[in-house]
Order: sequence, then C-alpha cells, then structure tokens
Amino acid sequence: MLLIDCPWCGPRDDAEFHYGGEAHTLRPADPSALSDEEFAEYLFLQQNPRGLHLERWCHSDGCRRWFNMVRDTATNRILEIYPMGELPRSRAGLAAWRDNWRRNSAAELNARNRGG
Amino acid sequence: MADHGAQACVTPIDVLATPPGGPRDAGITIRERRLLGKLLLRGDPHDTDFNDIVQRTVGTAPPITPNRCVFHDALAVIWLGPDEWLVVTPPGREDGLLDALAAGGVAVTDVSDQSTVIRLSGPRAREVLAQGCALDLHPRSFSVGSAAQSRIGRVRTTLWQVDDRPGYDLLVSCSFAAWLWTWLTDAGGEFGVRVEAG
Ligand SMILES: [Zn+2]
Repeated sequence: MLLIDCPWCGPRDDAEFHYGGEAHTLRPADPSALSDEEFAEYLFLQQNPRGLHLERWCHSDGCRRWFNMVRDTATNRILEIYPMGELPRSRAGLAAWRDNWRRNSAAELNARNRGG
Repeated sequence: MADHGAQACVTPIDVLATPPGGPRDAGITIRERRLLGKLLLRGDPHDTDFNDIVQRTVGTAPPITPNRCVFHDALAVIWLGPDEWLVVTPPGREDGLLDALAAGGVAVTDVSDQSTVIRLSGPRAREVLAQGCALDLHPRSFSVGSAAQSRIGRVRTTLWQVDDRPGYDLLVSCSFAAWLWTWLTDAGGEFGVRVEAG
C-alpha cells in the first residue's frame, strides 16, 4: 500500500487514487507531419524505467484533482509531488525529465516548434 | 429537484425494510437522514462576488480549508475541492436556495436525488468506521467540522463529523447506500446496533 500525499487533501490510501500514466507526454501539434513510426513511438512507447518515473495521478475518490508525482519504481518511494503543467523541483526529478527519450522525439520537437 | 409531495418517497434504505429498534445501550445508532437537499457549488473562493453571494444566501462563506465543513442554520457546507462545495439542506429547502444562488450567478447544481445520507453515531461509531476506512479518525486529526471524501467498506463516501458522541454523516450514492448500510450494521454487530426511523 502507498500513502499518497494529495496536494489538497493530504496523505491518503492509494486505493483512493487512479494512476494516469506517464507525465509530460506532449501531443504533436501537427501529427500529419510525423511518419507512422514517429507517431507510433509517441503513442505506444513508454519510458518504463527501473528507477525514477514521472507520472500523473488523480485523487479520484477524493477531491478529483490531478497532480504529478516522481516515484521510484524499484522502491515505490515517492520523491516529489508537483502540480500539473509544471516540472519537478527536485534535482533528481528534473534530471529524470531531462534524460527521458521523449525530449528528443519527433513528436515532442513537433509540439515545441509549433508552439504546442 | 426532489419530490417531497404527499405521495411516499421510497429511498434506497426504505427498500431494506429494516425494522427500527435495538438495545438502548447499543454501541452504534444508525438512521437514514431521508430526502435531504444537496446542492453542488462551483466557484473561485477568492472572488469576492462569489463569496458574497454564498454568504448572503447560504449564510456562511464556503470553507477554503480542505477537509473541513461548516454548519449554519441546519445547513452543512462541505469542502469537496479548491473550487467545489456541497451544501446539504433539510428536505425541501434546496429549491429556494438553488434559485437564490443561481440568481446571484453562482454555478449551482441540484444533486439531491443522486445520494442519501446515513447518520452513524454512538460510543463505538468511530471504531466501526475504522474497520472499513483508511482515514485517521482519531479526534486529534478528525473531529467536529472535519470532512473527507474517502472510502468506507470499499464504497466512495463523503463523511463529516457532526458531534462528539461521536456522530458522523455519511453521504453515499443511492446505488451503494443499501450496501453501505448493510456493511455498517454488520460491522457494528459486535457492539450492538440500534436502528432509528429516518
Ligand atoms: Zn485530494
């Protein structure tokens, strides 16, 4: 069992939450400019690390608000909880964001260049 | 809009047909608070217009502290989120309040018939809840005026403490109300259960 510290409600049992998948997956602004391989990479590939993972959670049985989390998939230790639309504040969390293969993916470059 | 006409309204707890009664010294007392009004408010608590209208119509400003509720004139205003509250009213008062809030420009929705409220009280009420709820219900962290959306007996429930007996109001959707009622009477069986008419 995880004790998850909802930014609004405080620490709650993980049964109250829903996992929302990997965070910071920018949708390409102009998907048709991507090859099928590049779009499939955006859609289907996950970071799936052994270690720090940046992911979205929703306090679905509570305040129903979304937030981001840095969690170590090997130990389940929660390093940091931070708001949607922001980047991690911890050095380790920020490094995990920077080192993610998505930062240089065609989909993300497309999203950034087109102001997505 | 709830229909409180002369014709009998049947609630999900009525369907169970649990006869009232039980020992006077029961560890828990349970009853349905039938046909309460429930209004869902959305708004920015830092917007003075919104605050003023709620203050004027409901009689109290919406609580901005998470996990809290305020009581005023038989109404309970429960924090559900940073821009979301539930106002629980005595039966029949929701219509007038809804009109007054809507006239003031507040985003308000009548959700009275979506759920019902079970009042659980008595010296063992806290222990019974703790059997199926992961919240820390110890008085140092949960007391009169505390509120939370959580799970009781695996069912999504909004609960708030109303007095020090202790007494709790449990708001549960109609489709799970009979389950929660049955779960509570079962979990409270070892302490003695008194059922009161709604
Ligand atoms: Zn929450």
